[in-house]
Amino acid sequence: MQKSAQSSYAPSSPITSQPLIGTLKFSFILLIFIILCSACGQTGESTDKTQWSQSDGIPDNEDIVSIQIEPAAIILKAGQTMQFSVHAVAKSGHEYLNPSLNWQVDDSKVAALQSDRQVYAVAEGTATIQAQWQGITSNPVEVIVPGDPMFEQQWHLKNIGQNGGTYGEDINVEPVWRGGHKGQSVLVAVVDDGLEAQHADLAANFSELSWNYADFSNDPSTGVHGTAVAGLVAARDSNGIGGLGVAPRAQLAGYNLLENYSTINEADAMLRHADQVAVSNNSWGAVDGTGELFRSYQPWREAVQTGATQGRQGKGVIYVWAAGNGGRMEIDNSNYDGQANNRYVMAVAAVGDDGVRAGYSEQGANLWLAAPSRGYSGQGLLTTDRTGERGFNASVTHWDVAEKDFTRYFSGTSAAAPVVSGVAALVVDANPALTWRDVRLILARTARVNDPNDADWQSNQGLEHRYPINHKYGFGVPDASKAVALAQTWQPVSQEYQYHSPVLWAETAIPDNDSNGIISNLYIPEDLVIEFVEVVFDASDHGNQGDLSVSLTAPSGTQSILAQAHSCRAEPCSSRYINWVFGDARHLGESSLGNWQLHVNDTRAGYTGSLRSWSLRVYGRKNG
Amino acid sequence: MAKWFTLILGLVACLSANADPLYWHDGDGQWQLWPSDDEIAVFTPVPASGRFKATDMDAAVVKAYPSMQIWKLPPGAKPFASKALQKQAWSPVFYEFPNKGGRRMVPTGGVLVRFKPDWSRDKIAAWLANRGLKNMEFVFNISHTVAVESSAGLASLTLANALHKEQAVIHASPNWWIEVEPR
Repeated sequence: MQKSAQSSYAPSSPITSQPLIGTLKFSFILLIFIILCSACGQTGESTDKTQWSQSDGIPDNEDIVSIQIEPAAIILKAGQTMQFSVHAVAKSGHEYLNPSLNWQVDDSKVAALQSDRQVYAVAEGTATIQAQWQGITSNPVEVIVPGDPMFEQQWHLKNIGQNGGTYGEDINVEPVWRGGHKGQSVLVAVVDDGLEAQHADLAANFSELSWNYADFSNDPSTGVHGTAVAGLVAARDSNGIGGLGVAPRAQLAGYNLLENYSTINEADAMLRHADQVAVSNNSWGAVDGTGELFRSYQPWREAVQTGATQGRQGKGVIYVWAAGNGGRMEIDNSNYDGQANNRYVMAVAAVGDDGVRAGYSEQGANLWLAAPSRGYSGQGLLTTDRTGERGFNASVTHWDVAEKDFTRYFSGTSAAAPVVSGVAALVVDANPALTWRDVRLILARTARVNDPNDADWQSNQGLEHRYPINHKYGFGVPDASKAVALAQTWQPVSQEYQYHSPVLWAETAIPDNDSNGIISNLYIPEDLVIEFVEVVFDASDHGNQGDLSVSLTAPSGTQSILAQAHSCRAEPCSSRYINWVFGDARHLGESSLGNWQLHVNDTRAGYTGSLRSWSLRVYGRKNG
Repeated sequence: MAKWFTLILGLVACLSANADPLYWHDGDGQWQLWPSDDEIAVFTPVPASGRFKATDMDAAVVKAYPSMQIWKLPPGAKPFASKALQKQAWSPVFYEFPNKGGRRMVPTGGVLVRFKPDWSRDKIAAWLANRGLKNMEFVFNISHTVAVESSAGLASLTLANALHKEQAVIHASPNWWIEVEPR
């Protein structure tokens, strides 16, 4: 195959060119086309196929064997023009860059050919474009004219450096939509303070399975926060309004738990319509920024266990949880939250438009993923907002977008979690047979390493795959395109096994103000391929849990920081390590067999206590 | 129900005299509660003034949630003796940890009860009916677990602790409101 020294796509000979006469002829044809096209629009008539014939550039004696076309953009706003690049290969071995070809668009109401290789977006919808030459047809390209005028501000979906963001720091979702996966038939529960049912950008996806815990109706149009969360999951696409969600055709069931919170309602919200709910988004939790240990309660724990193991016809509800916003000064760690660190949820941290951890986002060995939100630049996520003056964007917030039914400042791990929920919905759309465990594994396996210069990144010792892990980011930022691609070929994981070690009664004093601390060892005789580890830790006689640092080292050598010395809002901390359950995601794929080591130290003088006991619970599948 | 009433009176005495510690059960675990001595939770709508005034009670709303408000009581207030509060749906406020540590907790009414796994629905219903207890209507679906009606406040805590001691019951816990927030 001959190649030009200038460009791999440039023809070796002859080089296509556009002589002046050709240009004039071309302009005349273009003018005729525009007149015809505008007349078409005025009368409302349309044709099924539009043809544009330009055959300059490839000699008649060349036998073309393949044509590849590539669009400059997949998504176009109505009124925009977009150019294709063309790579044609001849039997002779010659390659032609951007030769003139015959083009066709399968829906001229959506897009029309403006000139050779140029497509003009007419109105919202989807059009498939192909080029032909000598009976050879190119690959089809689907161009989306979403009619979502704020899409270009949604950097979390497509980061092209808007307002100083870092190009590519997004979830790579466009190819998924192009492939036809938008979350159709997937029900996502948004457990929050409400969801505005009649919001113009949500109404089409609103599910009657919604529930209002305050008035026992199916209309949860209360609160403010949940409407913004819902828009990030599934604001409707192609409706000429606002932006779009990650899974813009998923169905949204709003459960306004926070309007009438109680432990019974909380458990109910985890299980309501669990036979149909695929993803449960939870952008809420215990109060952040206190440094205290806030355990979960039995009804909730039983509910998420039931939902994950029995929901969705046995495939399980996928619970997504905001990791927590108490990360400033490292006061809170996501592992101090007994919901965010539960093995049935995926805890999601927040990164900014530069891919770097948001200052408020909590670290933790329990984190599964990180996702876009408002970071150091201050650029939040654009999403739906309560209509009119009822939302975040009211008349006083003049810095926000002009359309008061939307906001571009949604932030917190609250904003990061629904981005992951949307990706999970796309994965389930691509392969509805996947279990909750499959979806978690797929998202971990395909996550992208963000903030690659961060010193905490390391690879674990996974048997089949060495997962990159980071206490700030879990396995990284989801890559929707890779996740959906993997979902389509994924072989379901085998049956889950658990190993619960005996309780090791250490009863060992933790030396005060001593960084060496104590080490305790526990041997696990079972060889499981790990999917999650729980450490049950008791130092209940210690006077200040905030003095303690706790880390776990696996037989593989992979270390997890479970707790770090920290201050509490009120000193000393009130809570104690009474059989506290830490969650640890970092050993994913590693073998459980061997010696596990717990290191506890107290680096602050004053309060004292002991490591009373600890044990391990390993969840995974049998190795071999 | 006389048994429950006696227990409630006993708990009121505990709260007033700051005597024996209060406990509740979360699954198999027993957890202590620390009552607030200057806060109560009121389930009725917030007065427009944000303040509740009566001859024997002068309280201000310190935190309003959609389903209830936390009221700060003046020093020396005796909410159980307040005639004004008898007209309100209210509850003491508890904390998870000492010295107002951790989250506020309020029994909102209702008790979650787990029965033995071999008990049928009919058997559970008959058992509850024999004790004058009613099942709350919920979609909630955890096996052998039902939500039983009770008033808010101490009645809920008392009933839960009493049911927890029953042979047929594996565990029983009050239906708590706990401080949670959007993130």
